[in-house]
Amino acid sequence: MNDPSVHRVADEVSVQSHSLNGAEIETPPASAQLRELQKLLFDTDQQERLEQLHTEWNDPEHLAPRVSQVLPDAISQRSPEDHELTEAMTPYVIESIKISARRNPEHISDAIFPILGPAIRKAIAQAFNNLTITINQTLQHSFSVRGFKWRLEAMASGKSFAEVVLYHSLVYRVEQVLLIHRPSGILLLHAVAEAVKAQDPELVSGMLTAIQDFIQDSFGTGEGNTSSFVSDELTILAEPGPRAVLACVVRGNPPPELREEMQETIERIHQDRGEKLKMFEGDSTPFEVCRPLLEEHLKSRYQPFADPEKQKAPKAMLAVLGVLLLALGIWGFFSLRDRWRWNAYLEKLQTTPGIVVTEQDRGWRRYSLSGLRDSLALDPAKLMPEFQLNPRQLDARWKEYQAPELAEERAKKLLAPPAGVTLKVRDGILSVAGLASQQWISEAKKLAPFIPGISQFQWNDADEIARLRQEIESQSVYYFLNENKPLPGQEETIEALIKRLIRLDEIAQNSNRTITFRIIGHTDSSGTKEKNQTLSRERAQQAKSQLASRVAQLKKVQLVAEGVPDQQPLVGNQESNRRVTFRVELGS
Amino acid sequence: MLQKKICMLGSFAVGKTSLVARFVRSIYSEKYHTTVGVKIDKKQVPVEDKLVNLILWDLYGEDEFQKVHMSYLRGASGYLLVIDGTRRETLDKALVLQQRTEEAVGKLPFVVVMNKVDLKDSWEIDDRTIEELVNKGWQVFHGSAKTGLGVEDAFTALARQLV
Ligand SMILES: Nc1nc2c(ncn2[C@@H]2O[C@H](COP(=O)(O)OP(=O)(O)O)[C@@H](O)[C@H]2O)c(=O)[nH]1
Ligand SMILES: [Mg+2]
Repeated sequence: MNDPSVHRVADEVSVQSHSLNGAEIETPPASAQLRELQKLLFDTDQQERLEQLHTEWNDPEHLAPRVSQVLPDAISQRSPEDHELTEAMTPYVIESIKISARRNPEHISDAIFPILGPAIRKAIAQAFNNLTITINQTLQHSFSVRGFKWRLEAMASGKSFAEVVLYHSLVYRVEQVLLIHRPSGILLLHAVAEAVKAQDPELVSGMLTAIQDFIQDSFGTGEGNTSSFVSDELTILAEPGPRAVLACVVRGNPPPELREEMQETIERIHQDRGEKLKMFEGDSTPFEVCRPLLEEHLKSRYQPFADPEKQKAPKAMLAVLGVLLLALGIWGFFSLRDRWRWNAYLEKLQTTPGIVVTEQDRGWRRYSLSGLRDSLALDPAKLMPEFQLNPRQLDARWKEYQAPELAEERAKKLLAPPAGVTLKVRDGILSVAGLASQQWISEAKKLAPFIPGISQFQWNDADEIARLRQEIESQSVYYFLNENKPLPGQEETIEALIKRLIRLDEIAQNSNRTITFRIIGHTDSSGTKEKNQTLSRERAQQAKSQLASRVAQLKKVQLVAEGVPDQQPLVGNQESNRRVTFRVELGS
Repeated sequence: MLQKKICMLGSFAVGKTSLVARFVRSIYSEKYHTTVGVKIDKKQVPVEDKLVNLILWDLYGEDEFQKVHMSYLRGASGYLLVIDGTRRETLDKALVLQQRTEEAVGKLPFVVVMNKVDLKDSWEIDDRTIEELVNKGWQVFHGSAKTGLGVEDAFTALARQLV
């Protein structure tokens, strides 16, 4: 208690008490109050009390509790009148916040995160609104580069400007939403749009976290920044909060409002589940309640860019005309350069598969070509812009022919292989490998010989079988002690096994061979040999019937269940031995 | 289902990546690992009557000893410390690594794998040395990513410490 302001208060009080003494001598005892005062002053008992009061006033230790009683009232009475108090206190408040932030930034960031988010968003939304208005205006008056390009495109294609704008407008679909714990990268919750296949979201979430760390480490961007990762078709938006990250996997162009919505969601989750996030130890069940929040983001949208009604601006036409005139001038000026470009273009055509040029001619702003062209070959006219030549000035006569060097492209076009299937043509043999449905394979087999340049079809299933086999044999299903009942939570494993089993059967049918799918039950080393014999067989049987009930008739794969009582256990860990494993054996 | 982040630690070429490969099936190709510098896999292991989902983080590349920094270790529940039995210096490095890790993220459960036990003939680490580790209270497994011996045991022993 060495606050100087308290001492000052005490000094003032003692000064006042002196002047009270002086007042008593001069003033007649007119009022009752004054009489009271006199009594106080001349009564020795009272005198002692007064002295006590005096020392109390001067002793900060006694004064403090008394002041503290009136302090809140005093402040509340004072503050509305003027700003002095506020001004006096401001530096202290600021200093204390600074110290607190320095000592433990987490407290402050936890406290202000829910408020800060909305505030920042508001400011950004405002800025965005202004921006959008500007863009719209610019677009209507066609002074933006994009506006120009779109108008030119509209003129060239004969479409209305509005149509072109719509074509370029944003179409997107949020396919997956992941809630990821920070900093472990463990997946807390995962929502998937209908009919979207999501592969191992647990690994994706780990990888996303690793990538974010990687970016932070490599480019030194601050902790907690939003980020996005873009590929040709997919964008991943990551919106971090202090303890969890929300990530959206988006097909197409994600709109700006998605970011805001994601911010709101991650804030909500921190508000509702903050404590659970803090205490997270690997159990993600408490976050299941947030599922609806995540699912809200699973939507697709078609977003028109501007109002098609307002697209008729005469000014714009003038501007376009001006540019065209200018372009014409440049054209004339550089016409000499044309010759060089034309030659380069012809050279390119000569090396393009499926095109044979037999005659060519070049006149004033006019080109002519004739020869042979495979319909799969690149369009010669489309190659022209690359050489700064105008395709509209080309007069081309092509005779259709089927170039042998394009057999592979032809096969790809005609057979439409599913993703992951590779087609290769060498010496007239089409060899196909990868993951394909039975239907596609038999169709391709029938069609292949009719494709010019292809005489034979070859299906290569060795790679796929080897992969399936490795995948199947690395799986295990675990069981309760002394029971033929599997532990819960293994649906994913069963699902993966079934998928591969079905595929194996397809392949076996296709190559007309038989496959034995061995289901082997194991036990731990506790219990008698006889007991384990039975138990291992029962576990295998259980797994077999579980698989069999989920796949339709298998034609070429035979399921065999057998038990191996583990006198020599697979591994040292007892519970790991209570399991069923799988073997794939290829017949002839 | 309980999920736990596990880190693979150990100097270059001791067999970390091979041990993980032995234990799981991965969906990521090499290409990703080189760019991001880390490979992530998962594996379910039983502990008593429950399954635990181990999310395994493995560093990619050669200078792993340098690269063990916070972002890799953050949020981990435990780690596998891998030593190559045929190279004595990988033990010394492992000791330093373990200490550094503890300084960075505090005490975490871990197990030691003495890898490449299939090459026992050219072993450079004697039983006395291993005993010293055991006496420190460390759980030590002899393993081989090549034959698979001890691999699953090491992972499940770690999982057991985590539940
Ligand atoms: N003989 C033998 N070689 C192994 C074993 N584990 C790994 N290797 C080999 O050691 C080399 C390094 O392995 P790798 O897993 O890349 O080590 P990392 O750098 O720790 O990830 C590779 O050539 C592996 O084939 C093992 O248990 N036995
Ligand atoms: Mg490695």
